[in-house]
Amino acid sequence: MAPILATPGMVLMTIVVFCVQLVSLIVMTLMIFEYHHIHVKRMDLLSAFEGVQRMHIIWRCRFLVILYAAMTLMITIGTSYLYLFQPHIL
Amino acid sequence: MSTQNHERLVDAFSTHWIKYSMPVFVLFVLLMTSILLFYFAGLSTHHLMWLSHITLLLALVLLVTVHHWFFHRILSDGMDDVIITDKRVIFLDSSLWLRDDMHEIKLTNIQAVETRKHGILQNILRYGSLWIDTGGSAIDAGEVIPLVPHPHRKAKEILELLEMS
Repeated sequence: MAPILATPGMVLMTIVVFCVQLVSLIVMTLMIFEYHHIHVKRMDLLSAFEGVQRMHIIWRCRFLVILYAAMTLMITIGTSYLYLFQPHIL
Repeated sequence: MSTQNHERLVDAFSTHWIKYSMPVFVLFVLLMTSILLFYFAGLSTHHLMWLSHITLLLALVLLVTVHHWFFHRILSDGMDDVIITDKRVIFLDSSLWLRDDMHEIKLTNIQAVETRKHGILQNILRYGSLWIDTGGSAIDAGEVIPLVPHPHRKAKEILELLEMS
């Protein structure tokens, strides 16, 4: 049996750790969804005007979303890896 | 939004980058705290396992919470935009899940435009607030646009539009 599942306490700990990771991913998805919703509304508003350069707003939105998703996944994968495979480090 | 009047965009900008400074500072401090808690969890693994578990959980929850809080602030603050057209001034103030405000001031209602730059930071970094007087007796919160980069330049733009209209 893996050391992280050796005792009932550790099993519970493992479940809690992965629940936190799951909640984190759900929060990220909801936040990106809401951000996209506001962004679309903003683009609709700007498209009502003549001569609008909207590319900088589109790229700012994309950059922030990619950065947020990448960092959340990095935190999830990184802490999960350390917890599962390198317990002596944590 | 009316498109039939051919409203022309004059300027569209976001508020000053100084708005990101406080979230970055708080993120740095709390991330360091989280890393320290992870370190303590590692140190106590073989001696006090229950303490190690609690510390690890605290560190993880702090890390995840701070991360999401930071991006909530960044994504929300990044959405604050000011749009100046030849017919109106629009200030969009958004915060994910919490606020989605749109303050719209028609150029025909504007009596005067005032800029305020108070303090060393505002004068060095060239930002301040823009107060658009619409003739009311009190300063309405909706008519004060905070953290405007180069507020004097923006006020001049609006005044030029007022003269033209």
